[in-house]
Formats: sequence, C-alpha cells, structure tokens
Amino acid sequence: MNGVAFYVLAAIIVAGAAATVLVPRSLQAGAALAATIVVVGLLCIVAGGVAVGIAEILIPAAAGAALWVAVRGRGYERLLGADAPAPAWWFAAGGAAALSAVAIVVVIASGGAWQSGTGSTSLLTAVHDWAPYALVIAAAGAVAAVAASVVLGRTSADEREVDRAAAEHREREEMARRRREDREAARRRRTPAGEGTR
Amino acid sequence: MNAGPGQFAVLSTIVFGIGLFGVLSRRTTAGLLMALFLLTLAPVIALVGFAHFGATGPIPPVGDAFALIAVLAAVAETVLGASLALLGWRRLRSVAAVLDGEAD
Repeated sequence: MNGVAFYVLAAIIVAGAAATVLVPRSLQAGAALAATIVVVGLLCIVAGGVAVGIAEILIPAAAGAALWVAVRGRGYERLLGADAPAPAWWFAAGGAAALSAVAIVVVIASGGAWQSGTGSTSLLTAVHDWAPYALVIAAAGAVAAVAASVVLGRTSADEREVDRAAAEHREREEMARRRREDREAARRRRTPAGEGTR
Repeated sequence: MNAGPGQFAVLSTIVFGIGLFGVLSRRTTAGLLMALFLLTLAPVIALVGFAHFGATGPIPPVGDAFALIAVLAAVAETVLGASLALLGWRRLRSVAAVLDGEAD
C-alpha cells in the first residue's frame, strides 16, 4: 500500500480517536468519532477491502442516524452533556499507555517473522467458504440488538402519561411560585420603608 | 515508502490504547459507548491490513470477512448500550442514576 496515503489517513484516525475520548462535549466527541469511522472506512477501501470499507461507513451511519433521531426527539440532551475527566484519569492514561507500549514492542519485535503478499479471492467467496456461520450469527445478533433496542427505547403509553403528569405538576409549581413572588413584591410596594421593622 | 502489516498493527494498537483510555476515564454513558466503539474499531484496522498485506499468495480475505463481522458486532453493542442508557434515563429521571446507579 502507498505509504504516504497510509500515514496521512493514520494521522487523521489517531487525531480523531484522541478527540473522541478527550473532548468534553459529547456531541463534539460524537462528531470526532463519526469522522474517525469514515476515515477508517477510507483506509479499508484504499487498502483493498472495498466491501468492508463501505460497510464500515454505512452500517454505523445508519445506526448513528437512528440513535440521533431517538436522542433528539425525546429530550435526552442531558445524557449528552459535558464529560468531566474521571478523578483517576492519570491511572487510565498510564494503563492504556503501558498496554499499548507492550503491544507495539511485540509487533515490532515479531515483524521480521511475518510474510507479505496480496490476496486475490473475493470477499464473498471468503465469507461463503470460510466464515458463513460467524457472519450469519453476527448478522442475526445485530438484528436482535436493533430489535431489542427498539423494544427498550420505545416510550409506552403509561410513561407518556407519567411524563404529562410530571410536566403539569412542574407548571403548577412554577405558577404558584410566581404568584407568591408577585404577592411578596406587591406587599413590599405597599409597605413604606421601615414600617415592617416595628 | 510502503505500508505493510506492521504499520496496520501499530495503528490498530494505538487506536485500541486510546479507546481503552476512554473506557477507563469517561464518565457519561455516551462517552463510554463511543470509547467502546473505538475499542472494537481497532481490530477492524488490523484485520483488513493483515488480510491484504499479511500473507503470501492468493488466499481468501478471511480478515475482511471477520472485519465485517466485527463491524456488525460493534454496531449491535453500541445500539443496545445506547437504548439501555435511554431506558435508565427515562425510568430514573437522573443522569447520576444512569451513570452511577443512584436515583437523585
């Protein structure tokens, strides 16, 4: 593979991944993750895995669009709020860096024993001959997960009723508070200064 | 200058490390799910790289097949996690409840 293209795409992927875990606002982090996914898909396509690259972009895009509609439509904005770093972020950074360092050292140390070449058989043949059951199980799992998500994420009639009652209760509380404040303000206006301290 | 399986493996490792850091350090449900998605994205890079540059001769791209499976699994996990978070939010009416398991 062309080294320049690889390193450019790799730099964007690493930057996007870092932004995903470091940006405090969840919406911005989501945008960074989306960009990372697209660039990983492009890397797959450039490397020769066209079908995987397209799937890598389209499947998460469809799932992300469905999630976006669900989150925006039900008032879940607070779930996407700012994400303060955990108190033990330095422990997380140390652990992740140590594990990455070990893996990279192993990769570099064992790289000489690898063989290089290219494959020429189509993905469809590979899936059909080598991994049919795994693919079917994964696809069935994805469909089951989407179905379970719809079941879990839907709003039932009793929840809508509870939501409406809670909203009415909040509105009544707010109106009572305003009336109280108005009465208090009117009493202060009527009472001359100093009279109330007899 | 060419890129081979070693470069793909190193890139995969770096992305995995960043995802691991995110899983350990993020506190919101959305942040945790995104970091988990990064964790599952890392093997896809390695699988595709090894499938196309890691073997001699015309072999079936099994790595591609498993990368496809990994993408499906990652999306399923993320969608299910997000719906569970929404369910927790709806039932408990609290961000803290979703994050810490405590109702406020």
